[in-house]
Amino acid sequence: MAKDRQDIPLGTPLQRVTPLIITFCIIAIVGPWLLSAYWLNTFTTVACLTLVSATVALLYGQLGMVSLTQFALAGVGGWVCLRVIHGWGVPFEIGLIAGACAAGLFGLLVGLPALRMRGLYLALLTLLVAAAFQVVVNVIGFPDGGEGWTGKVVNGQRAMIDRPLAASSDVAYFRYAVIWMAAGLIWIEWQKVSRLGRAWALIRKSEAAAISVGVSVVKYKATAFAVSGALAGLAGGLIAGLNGQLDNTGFHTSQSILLYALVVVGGAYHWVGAVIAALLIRALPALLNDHGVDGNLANVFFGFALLVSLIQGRTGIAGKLADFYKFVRMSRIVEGSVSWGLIAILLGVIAYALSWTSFAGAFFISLIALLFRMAIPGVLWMLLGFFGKRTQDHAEALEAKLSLRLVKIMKAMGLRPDHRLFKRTLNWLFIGIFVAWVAWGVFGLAYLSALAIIWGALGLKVLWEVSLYTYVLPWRSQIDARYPKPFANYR
Amino acid sequence: MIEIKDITVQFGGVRPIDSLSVTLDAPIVGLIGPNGAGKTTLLNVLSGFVTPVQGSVTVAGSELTKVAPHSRAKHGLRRTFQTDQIADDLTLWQNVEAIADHAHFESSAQAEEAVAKAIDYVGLSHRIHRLGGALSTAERHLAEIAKALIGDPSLVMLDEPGAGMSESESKLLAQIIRGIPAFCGAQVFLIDHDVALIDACCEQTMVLDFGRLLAKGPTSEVLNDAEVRKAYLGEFDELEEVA
Amino acid sequence: MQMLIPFLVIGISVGAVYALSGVGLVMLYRASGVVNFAQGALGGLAAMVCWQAIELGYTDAIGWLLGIACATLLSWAYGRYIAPTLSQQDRIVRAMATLGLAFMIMGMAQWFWGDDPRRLVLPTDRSGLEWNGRRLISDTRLLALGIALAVTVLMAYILAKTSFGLKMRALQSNRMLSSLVGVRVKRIDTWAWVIAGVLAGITGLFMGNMVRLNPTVLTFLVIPALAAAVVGRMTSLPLTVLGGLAIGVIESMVILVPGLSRYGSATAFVVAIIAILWYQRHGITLSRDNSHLE
Repeated sequence: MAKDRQDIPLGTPLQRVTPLIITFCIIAIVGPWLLSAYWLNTFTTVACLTLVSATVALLYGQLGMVSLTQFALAGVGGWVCLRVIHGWGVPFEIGLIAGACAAGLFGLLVGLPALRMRGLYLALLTLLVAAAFQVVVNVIGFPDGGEGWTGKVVNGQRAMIDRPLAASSDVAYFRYAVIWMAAGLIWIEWQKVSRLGRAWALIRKSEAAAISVGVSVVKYKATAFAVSGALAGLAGGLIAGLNGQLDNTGFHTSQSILLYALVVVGGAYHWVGAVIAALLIRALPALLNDHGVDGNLANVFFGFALLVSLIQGRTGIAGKLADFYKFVRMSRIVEGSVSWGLIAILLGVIAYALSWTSFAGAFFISLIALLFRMAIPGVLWMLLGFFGKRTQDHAEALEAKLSLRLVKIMKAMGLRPDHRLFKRTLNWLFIGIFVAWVAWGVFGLAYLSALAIIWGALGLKVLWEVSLYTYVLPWRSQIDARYPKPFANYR
Repeated sequence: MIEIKDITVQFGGVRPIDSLSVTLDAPIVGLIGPNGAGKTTLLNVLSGFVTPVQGSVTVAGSELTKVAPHSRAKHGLRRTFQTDQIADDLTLWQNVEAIADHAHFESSAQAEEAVAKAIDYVGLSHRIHRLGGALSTAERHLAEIAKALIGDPSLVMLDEPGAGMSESESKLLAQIIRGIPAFCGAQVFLIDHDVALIDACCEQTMVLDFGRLLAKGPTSEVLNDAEVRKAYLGEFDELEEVA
Repeated sequence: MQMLIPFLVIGISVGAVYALSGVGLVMLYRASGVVNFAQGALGGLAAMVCWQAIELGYTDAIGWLLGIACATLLSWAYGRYIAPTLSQQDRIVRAMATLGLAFMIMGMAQWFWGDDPRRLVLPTDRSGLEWNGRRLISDTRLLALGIALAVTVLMAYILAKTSFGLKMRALQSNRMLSSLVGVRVKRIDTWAWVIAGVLAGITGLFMGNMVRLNPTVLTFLVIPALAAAVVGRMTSLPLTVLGGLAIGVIESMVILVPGLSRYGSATAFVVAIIAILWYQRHGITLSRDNSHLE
């Protein structure tokens, strides 16, 4: 009999949210150093949209319910937030919370008839609500300091709301938004492994079974709707605070639908998926616009990605990443962070010395390049999977053939053969082209210097692996003996 | 004790259960019957998913006919389903804990103790951290039973717990089922096609055929009853003769 | 009363196009269980291709045929090559996958044609029915109404009387059993997609003419069509047609109600939401969705 696989404990809720806390702390602290004013505002919006995506993911991932109305709920939150602040001159936070409460109630209202509804009709109902909301907002518009119930200025200066006192600068507001977003995500993540999440899991598995053990399906579904509505409304208020006003073109039905699609692409079962979805919906079009590429092409990509993710089995990019990290050992993580950190610092210093770009820029690009080194093969593999298992097999066979030929050539030339050289070269090419393009857009770095930094980082990593291998080995086994695979049960 | 009085279920023109009256008082009761005899319908009546057009059901002294399905758990009713309901993305422990969340415990420590005891009873203590999706079929069935044992149940209804199990696993299952009344004081109501399992576990067995009670009594008597053999077991005898 | 008639007539004709689109949705849903969110995008593509062909100097008829052919071809390709890979999934997943198709078509069309204002002129626009010396309704609108009714009757006939329709209904009740008794599931499915593509193309041309020739607008006109189909519980063709007509008429008449006139375009959604809630309150199941029992 085969040796039994060791199961790793799931961890307490606190342990599960720790990575989130660390990640968002780093982003909140480091983000403003790295980003220009334009990109900082873009990323503040991304933070708000992450919260909206997380609510879509909550309903879809935890309860299997498709809600196409979350963006409209953000609109409701923003509307109420603006109205309350303009009307009574209350502090920003009170407006924010009023907006969240209103959106939560509205979400509950939409959700109530849906509690006994099966998937498809819930999706249709929420789509219809989103479409109706769009019409209403188009007619009424968002409040901008005017009189009366609609708070609309008829002829005259549109008023803006003030940002919170503690966060009036762009940098501070970025951190402010990230904190709210992180709080929302942490709450959701916490619930997933607590009583609420377990009840949601029972309902998702089978409503009949859940009822038979005394779970009130209505209560738990309603909670999910109200909470996701409130969080979306909170995000809407944050967006209103960022710009001081809201624009009715920003809450189009297409955005609600797109958001759902991108949450599926990003991954509905993992918080990283919400971040990816928000990046895709806001940062990718901004990046494309920056390069003068028609932003509409993003829609083509999104549609394609949605099809791929649905065909590939619904865990999305985050799910693929989680699958990958499941097998990562603690020692690799320690070694990785040390080596990545050192390489990125070294390149940052060099780039700064050569005055190519700021230290932070080069540091960031190196890290991104090293990250993509792990992710690109998986993503390409997934894209190939869209064309079927056979295409994947063909590609694999082709790669093996080419690798083998390369090895032969290397042997003939008297070099030490490297079976992974072909794959690696391909990978480096992709990463180089893609990351350099991003770097060019975000940091305004020249293409060639960006390529130098990226390939420098990748090369240094290989050098690290080759030269330090024997020294690191004993450390590795020591660490692994004490700490098992940290992400084995993480999803 | 389960008291069923004059229950009739009607789906359109079909009567899966037709004025059925029976009292089941043994600690472990079996229910057998050919396909379409109304076994699962009877179970659904007991758990409240199907409302009978007439009649009443009393379990352990409380009248349940008018009680909503999700409130029946409070009266100590537990059931398993033919397709197991283990969530793939929760660990075994979480799967059982999810049930304990909705049973009434005085403290979370007590709830945890009950979860640990139930998992230990079905012999899966070494699997508590395994995700539901990674459990074997037999383990999933056992986990289902563990879920049904949480929170002082008065009646545990098992719907084909032995489906897809090997002979040795089935023996282990029989042993576990036999121990349930002693473990938590609950009465067990066992539905299965596997006559050997019923024979190994149940003191008392009832046989349904076309919604009517065909026989009820001590298991060995019922299984040897001529009418039962004709309606249900006859097929097996013929097969054996051919073989 | 005299004042109402033009609005009524316009409402009926727009409603007829909604109904036609809704019938396409219902047909496809009945046969293959897919709610096709790409219906509008396919129609939008048809309209844009048609406009482009006419712009390039081809005759109108070739433009129409090209437009409809494009929509049909794409619909067929999706139904033949992509939809089958999802056939084991929930209905909701299959529906959401068509969103992917919709975004791809819409993105391409936006990229290629942009947002410039355009008009798709049909020859039938020039003539029409006169009444009291005023043009009451253009022939285009009459044609739309006629086609909608004819298509509905034809589809109802196909479903009720032909062996193809019988197989479609078999698929609707149980795909696996149907394949066991020899229904060629994939072939029927593919045909359903072709029919849906043709209907999408035709409605796209009409919508491009009556509403606005813009890929984004046309893509999201799938929502009123869905509303009509929801009124028909995704199964009933007559109810879908009634729903479409009712939506069109109310949408057009609301303009006359002071205070509500600007909310006209929300009619479809409100009608459908009310329909969903009404069906639910009266315990009428929305279509035969047996997926939870499978």
